[in-house]
Amino acid sequence: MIQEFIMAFLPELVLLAGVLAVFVVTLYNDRVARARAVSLATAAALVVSCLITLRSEATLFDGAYRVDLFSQWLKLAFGVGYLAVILLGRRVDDIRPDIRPEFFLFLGISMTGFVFLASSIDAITLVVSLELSSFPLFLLVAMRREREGQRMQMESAIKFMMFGVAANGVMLFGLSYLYGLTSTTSIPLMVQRLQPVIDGPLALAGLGLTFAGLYYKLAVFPFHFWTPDVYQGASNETAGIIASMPKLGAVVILVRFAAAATPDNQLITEILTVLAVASMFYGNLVALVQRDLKRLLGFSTIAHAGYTLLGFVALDEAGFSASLYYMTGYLFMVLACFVVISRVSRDGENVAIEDLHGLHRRSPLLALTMVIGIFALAGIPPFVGFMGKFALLNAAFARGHTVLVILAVINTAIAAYYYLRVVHASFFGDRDATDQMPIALDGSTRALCIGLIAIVILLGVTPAPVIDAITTSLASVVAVP
Amino acid sequence: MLLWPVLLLAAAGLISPYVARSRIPVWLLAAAPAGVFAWLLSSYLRLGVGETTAESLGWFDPLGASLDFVLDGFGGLLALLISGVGTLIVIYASGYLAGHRDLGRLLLLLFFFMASMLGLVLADNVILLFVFWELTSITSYLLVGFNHEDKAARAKALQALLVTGAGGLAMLAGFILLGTTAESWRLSEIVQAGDLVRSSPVYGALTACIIIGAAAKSAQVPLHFWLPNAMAAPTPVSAFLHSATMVKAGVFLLAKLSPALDGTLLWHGSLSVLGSATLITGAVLGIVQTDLKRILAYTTLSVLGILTLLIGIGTELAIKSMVVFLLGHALYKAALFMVAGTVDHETGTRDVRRLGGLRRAMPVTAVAALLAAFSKAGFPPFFGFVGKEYVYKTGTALDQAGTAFIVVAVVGNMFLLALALKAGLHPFWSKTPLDAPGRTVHEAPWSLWGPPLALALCGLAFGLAAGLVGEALVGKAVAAIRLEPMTSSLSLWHGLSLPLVLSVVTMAGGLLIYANRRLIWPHRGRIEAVPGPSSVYETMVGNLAEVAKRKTRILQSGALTRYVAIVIAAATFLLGWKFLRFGGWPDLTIGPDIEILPAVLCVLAAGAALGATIATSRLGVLVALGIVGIAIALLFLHYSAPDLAITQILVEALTVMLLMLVVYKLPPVRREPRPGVAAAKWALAAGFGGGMTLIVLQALELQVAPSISEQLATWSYPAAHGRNVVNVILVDFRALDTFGEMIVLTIAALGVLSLLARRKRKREDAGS
Repeated sequence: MIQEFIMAFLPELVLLAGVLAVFVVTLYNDRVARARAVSLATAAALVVSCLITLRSEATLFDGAYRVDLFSQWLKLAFGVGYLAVILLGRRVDDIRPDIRPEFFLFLGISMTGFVFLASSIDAITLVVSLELSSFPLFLLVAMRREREGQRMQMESAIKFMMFGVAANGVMLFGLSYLYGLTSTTSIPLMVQRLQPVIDGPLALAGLGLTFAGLYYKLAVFPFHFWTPDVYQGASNETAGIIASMPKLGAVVILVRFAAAATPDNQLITEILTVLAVASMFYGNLVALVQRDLKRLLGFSTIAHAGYTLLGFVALDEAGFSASLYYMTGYLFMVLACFVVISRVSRDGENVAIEDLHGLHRRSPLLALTMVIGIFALAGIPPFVGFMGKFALLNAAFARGHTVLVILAVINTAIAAYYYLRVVHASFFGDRDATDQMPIALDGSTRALCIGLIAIVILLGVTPAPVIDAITTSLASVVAVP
Repeated sequence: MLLWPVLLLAAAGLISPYVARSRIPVWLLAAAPAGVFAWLLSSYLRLGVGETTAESLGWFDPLGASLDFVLDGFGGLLALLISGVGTLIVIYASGYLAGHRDLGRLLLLLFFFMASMLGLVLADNVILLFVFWELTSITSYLLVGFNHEDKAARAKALQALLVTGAGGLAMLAGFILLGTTAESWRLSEIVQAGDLVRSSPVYGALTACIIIGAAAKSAQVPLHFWLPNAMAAPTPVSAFLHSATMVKAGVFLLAKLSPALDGTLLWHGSLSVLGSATLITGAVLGIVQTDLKRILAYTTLSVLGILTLLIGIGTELAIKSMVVFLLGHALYKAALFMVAGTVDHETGTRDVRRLGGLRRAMPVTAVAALLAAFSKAGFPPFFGFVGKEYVYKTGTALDQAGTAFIVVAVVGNMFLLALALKAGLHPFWSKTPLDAPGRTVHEAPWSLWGPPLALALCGLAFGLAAGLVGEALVGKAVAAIRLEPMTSSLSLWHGLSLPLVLSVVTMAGGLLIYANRRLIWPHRGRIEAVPGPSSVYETMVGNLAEVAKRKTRILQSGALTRYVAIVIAAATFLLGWKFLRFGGWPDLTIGPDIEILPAVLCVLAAGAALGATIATSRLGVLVALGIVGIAIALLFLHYSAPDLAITQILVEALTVMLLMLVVYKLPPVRREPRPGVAAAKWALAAGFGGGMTLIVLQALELQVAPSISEQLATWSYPAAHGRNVVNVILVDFRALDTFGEMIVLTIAALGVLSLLARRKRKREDAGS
């Protein structure tokens, strides 16, 4: 019994132990390096334990927590992301010096939230995990150090938190409707009991409000306003975290709830269509004129959230797995971009597109990472971004959303323009760029770059096993028990 | 086996930066494409007419993407051109950029391009084909922008990529439609399903998408402008991409898909019009150019126009002439590009007004140029002559519109001839004094004259052995496109016939244009200044940026109030959408059983809320909001919920007091400067409030489960042994809830206590 429990709960136990260890470390003086080392070990152990428990199946804590293939591969993705983020952060020089170790502590706590999120199948567990994952992130934004020309962090953190708390409130409001309708907090049961009343106003209001809370995390228009401001105000490594993990988390929950609706639910598909189109156009058009690289990525996130919704418009298994596949890929594409940003940045400052000029001479590996990350985001084959978009378009097309597919393709064309400006700068660049010092990379950064490039390419050229696995694992989520 | 050549070329690309840095001669890298060429040639020659070698490796079958490759007569011919010309280009590039610090990077990209191009012509799966198609766009973008120190080069590279990339997306849409219509993603099966495709309701859409994609890649009017602009590329790149390979991809695709798509007015009409327009545009704009490479680029346009036109006609003769013309063009145009590069390399200029008499200094290059130019001009016995003869033959055999076709073809060919002489002959044989300051011009190294000479000699040999070429290459290609074997063979000489007469006319006209070429140069500026699609492109890109800027200013202003307003507006919109689109309005009639007191309270609350919006001071707003709260508390009281009423009053009092404290410190209110903004806010508030009211009313009408109050009342005694239901709910049914509230209160109290203690300490500190 206890053995089974450990086999099912191993990743969480490892992570909790690691985070507690980090907490202990933060109590001592001069502890950045140690906190980082412990975090790194925790992340590595998390990845390994996820691999070990990949095939575990169990329902824990009175049916509030489900361990299956679906949750475990998500935890694996989060674990790999965690590892990458720690490597990306290096010694977190842009965090206030006296609280640097706490960066790793809060990061760890937030990761715990995400890992729990993957398995939560009860509305209460879900909300708790969600809060656990998001509150530390608010703090991380505010932890950037203050100095000349860098005083935005507090404003950003407050915007982030205000929107975040409001979104959580909206989501709870929605959940309360759903609970009132179904008198259960177990999500699978809730989904099942919603079936007969799904077209009723209460169910729609409940689902709509719940979704709205998630749209905030995913940065879907019009719940996106915090995104660019927060990306810009947060330190480079924090922005990297915020840009990657919460998105995947939001998609996971969306999948769990969207399973309540069937593909012929017109109102939900239409609302999702409107939001998807608005997000794509909004994000892409505004990104066109950005000069700050993080802001640019912030707006592009909005567009990507729109693409992701294409899978939900389809409201079937193919669509959900396409969305999950796309978001998993997105996690790594965007991390690749943020690695480059944080390394190119001088002393943690924000990076403008012009700062990338001549990057291929200063550091060929960084330039390559950037170019591959950007090409993947732009949806150019053979990287994961292309296959993901293709799967999404196909899923939406199969359900007859032709106009939506066409609009998405037009958006891909618009997006290519600003993505290529980045490629332009990093691969060609000006001779008279001011700072042409070569960038020295340490071993772990090299490993990180190569690892991310490998993932972005591998996920892209071998989509079949990945999407198959996702679809198989989805069976337990989508199928009403 | 067909994947291996692609991988081999990519691998050669990966090692080329290292080779470029080492002592190994760089041209040895040409062994990779040469090996591929030899292997393809032996496979191709073994291939019977109409036969194919296909293989499938699987990849991502659920989405139809699979690694299907096929070697057929037409794809094989292009693969031979790619690897053959590629071999020569690698040798040429190693000489052209010898010692350049980025030679390794150029070769890397060149090999990647070659690999993608090879994949493109060998792919048998439309999705795979699209992947390779985009890869050629990307690698060509990086290649065209290779001279990155030149800002113009970068802008041009981006333009080329955006045009071909956008076209590629249109094509992807076309492919998806095609694949679902033909119920197969394999090209070899799609071409068999022509009837199914033509009878489909989306035939028009998918054909248009595919034609747009192909037209963008093969630089058809009005998407042609990127090609001349892409001449900013280093010459080896132009010689490879813009003559023999990339620009042919669109034509290749059109020809390959013609069995599935042709036979309709849409197909024949649009391709004929596109082709003719491109042919004439290229010819007219080419004649005013003075830059060698731009001249060649415009003639490439013309040739691409002819090829599209021929596919549009689609008879057996037309396809045959298309193949011959394509082959001939690849041979002479790559050679001429390389010659232009060699001249540039040795003299430092490509301006024909400054070049002349180079034959003495560069005899071998001059010979190569002469041979290639003659083939391009269509002089017998070169292969170009065969191509032109067949084009004319196609025209004379046409039932309808033959005359129009012949006129277009003859005029186009006249210009081509003149331009051939201008690009190939003028620099070497004219009397224009050479203007190359600070240079002593001498013959280029072998790696610069060898490749063009080899290609030009091929052009001559193919012409002399036209019958043999027809059997070994053209016949198979035509059979592969038309899915039926060619009925007649290929020959150089057709006796005295109308095509020959037309050839003579072409020659006379072309020579006349060439002789008068200098008359046109002064008008160059005026012709170039005519606004074309290029300026439309500039305007579009500019406008897009302008729209984006304006939108950012309005929507992403950084002001939280505006963000909130937009969120609410969007929510209202979605609410309204629901009601307007799907109905489901709640029952809005007011019953006779309306009570007076609640109604008065409601009116009071509404009036106070209204007052809050028009109050001029913060204090007024607070008071008004306070009234709303109290009215609601009274409503609770009326419906016998005293606990709720008390909570409400307490919370209300607390918030008002807290806000008062804050307001006290705040600067005075600045009124809204514009009445429009206030009105918009009013509308927003009314819309959102109305929507929420509707939702709540609708919720009231719905009862899915038995009311919980009944249940709690029945459970009260048996489950918790309490007769006071409220007490039981608080301490039993919601014990955890109450417990949580208590904790919250305790924490708050502790907080207050610590604040007070601190204040006291401060005062003591100050006192002591």
